[in-house]
Amino acid sequence: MRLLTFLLKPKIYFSLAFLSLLPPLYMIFFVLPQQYSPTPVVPLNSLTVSKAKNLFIPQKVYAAGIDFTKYTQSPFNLPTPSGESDIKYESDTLTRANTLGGYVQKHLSYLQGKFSSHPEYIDPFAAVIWDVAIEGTGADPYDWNCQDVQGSSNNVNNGCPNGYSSGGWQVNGIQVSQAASHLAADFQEVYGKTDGATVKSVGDRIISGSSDPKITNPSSFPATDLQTIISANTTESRQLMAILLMDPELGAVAISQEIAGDIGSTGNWVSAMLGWPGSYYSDNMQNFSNRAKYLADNYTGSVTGGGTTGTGGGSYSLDLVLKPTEKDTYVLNKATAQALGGGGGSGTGQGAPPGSVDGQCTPTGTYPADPGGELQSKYKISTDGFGADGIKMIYELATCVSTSKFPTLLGGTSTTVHNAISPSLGSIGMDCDATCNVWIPEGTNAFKFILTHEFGHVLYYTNPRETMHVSEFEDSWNKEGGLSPYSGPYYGGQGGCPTKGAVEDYAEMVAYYLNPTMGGKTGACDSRDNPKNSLFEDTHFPLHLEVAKQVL
Amino acid sequence: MFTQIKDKFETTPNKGMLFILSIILVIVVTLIAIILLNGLGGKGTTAGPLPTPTAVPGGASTQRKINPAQKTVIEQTTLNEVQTLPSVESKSPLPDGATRYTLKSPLSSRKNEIIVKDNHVVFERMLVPESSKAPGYVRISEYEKEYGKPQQIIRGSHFYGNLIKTYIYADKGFAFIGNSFTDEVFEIHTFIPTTIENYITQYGEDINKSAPAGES
Repeated sequence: MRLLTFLLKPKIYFSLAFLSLLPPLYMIFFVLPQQYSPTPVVPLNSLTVSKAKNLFIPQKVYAAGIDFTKYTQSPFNLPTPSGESDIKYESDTLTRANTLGGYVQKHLSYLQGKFSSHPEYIDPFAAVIWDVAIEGTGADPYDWNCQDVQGSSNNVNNGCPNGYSSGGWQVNGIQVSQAASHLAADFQEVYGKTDGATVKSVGDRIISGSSDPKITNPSSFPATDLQTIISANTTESRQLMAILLMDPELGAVAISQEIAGDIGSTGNWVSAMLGWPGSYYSDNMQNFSNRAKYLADNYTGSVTGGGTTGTGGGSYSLDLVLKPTEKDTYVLNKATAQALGGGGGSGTGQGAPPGSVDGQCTPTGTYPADPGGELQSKYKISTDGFGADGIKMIYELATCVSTSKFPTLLGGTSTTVHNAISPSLGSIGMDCDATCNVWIPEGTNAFKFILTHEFGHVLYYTNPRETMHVSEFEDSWNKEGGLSPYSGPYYGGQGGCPTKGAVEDYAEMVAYYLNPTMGGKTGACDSRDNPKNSLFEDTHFPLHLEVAKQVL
Repeated sequence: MFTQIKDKFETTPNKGMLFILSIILVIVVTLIAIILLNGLGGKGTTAGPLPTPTAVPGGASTQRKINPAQKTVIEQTTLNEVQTLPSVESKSPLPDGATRYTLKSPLSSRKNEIIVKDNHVVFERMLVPESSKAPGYVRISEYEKEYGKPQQIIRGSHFYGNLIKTYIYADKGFAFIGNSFTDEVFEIHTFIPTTIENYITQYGEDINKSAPAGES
């Protein structure tokens, strides 16, 4: 009865009604607005807030931001930013980026001295653009890959058993092979000496600071002077060099020179990048600019962390000095390429391919009675529609290169050389289906060179990539550009040749290597006077030359 | 007893009315909230120019790796698992709310790639190593033996050359780019099973349908 009376009290129901209203009211006022609202837009310059308390605060704080306009002008020529960056970099990335630029700024005098004809090619923020916006390494000094050894590319402890010259060792945007020629000088600049004790202290600090993966091979850095390490040129020594390049300050000094070399290759940074194979750069240039603008807005150029003492620690900030660009001069910059390329070419006389006589593609000995028959029996090459002179030319070429790997590489493929242009291409060219065809009219200027070029395509398509060193070639294309106006940007502007890209450059490489005295004037569109053989007479392409030697 | 109860209500006519009104109010508000919530859930919130491909009826899903070197399993690998991959280099948002992760690859100008949407992987591009001894190296004939002939083969690759082909198994949720002359697979794409057209539109950026049948 008491209970019934209690339950009949109106207050009880008013209270229940009020309590019942709470969930729907909560949904209406709190849940629904969130469901309807768009994804919150993170405002620029606000990303560091959540982690700000964990950041190391530099001794001197600068207002972030530099004018990005400079980088849309010569010699950088990046696209004008349009829209927001698709990546909002985290505070730790921005800190590393600022440190990278700060270290370049710190050694600006040394670096510009190495590019005295074009000091503007050395630019602290360009290093940030390259590492963070373009390469996407996050300016992480421990970012590492080893393209030559698949499957071990993410484990520094496995090292790279080959690839020193191929450029397969890459540390935070620069390859060991590219840094080798100036690493000792750079180390001297950063640490004042290159003796074993100093090198060991730097190396040990890098090893002790590593994680994921932890560097365990070697577990401690040897007390060997740097020049000895560089000269050794062994798997172990190259790994040691890679470890040293993980030093943020040393790495920054090396990277800035690599970028300056890229700019110098054409006098136009974007032009150089657009000439590299694939569509990564051309497809993403606008994104790169937008990202770079975001980085510019957050750029202080202040160094956080340390690395200058060789035993760790230390921090400082640097004033950022932006020098106006005063020159817009096209320069081939061969001296720069020589300095950056880690050796390589020494002008003419680097060695003709086997089988040629003084580099001339004219075989010794007597001609066989049936050169066409020998072409078929030895090389599986048939001819179609050629006269005696045409067959002789083809025979001479095949014989010239017979002691190179050319016959072996061609061995599994039957090829017919037609005295005509390609019906499907409407020009000189090649195609392959069950067998391969090369289309080249008899009497074509530079007949042997162009025929070799087309055979270069045949080799590229009919042999495994490992045999053809395709990844190493791709790297050489990335770093050096194309060997001719036809295949890349290094000679861009010297003729109206349509730039064909890496696939054409591979064929050019084969043609230049197997015709060492040919200047390689690649057609009417090539406006160069007396062009040199890009592999043997131009020091700009040591990586290409190394690949050609390995393949052929 | 019942008289007492009746009296209780009769002596408080206004409170009785308030009681009834409050009950009605609770019901109405609850109904409104339920209707609004259901309406939102039905519409979805991620409309955009790159919708996740629609699964085709009867399509076999790639709910497992087709290559040991792959980093993910489509629709199974989670965002958190992708974020912890050591080879991740960068990430960028896509218009439909998905996120593209780029990862280190054997080639410096063509990266591996993973796309994550709604917390799960919906696409992976993996470059196959060059070395025949490396984990993940695979041949075209091996895939054709295991999965049958592809639905479509398209010759022409922007990156690898005019004679390189893309082999599409859209209904099985994968495709690969390969060289028919050497039997080598260059790269593998895995995705949610879809139509050929959707695959080409969504992930076939390398396909060069207008490539001539040779090189000059």
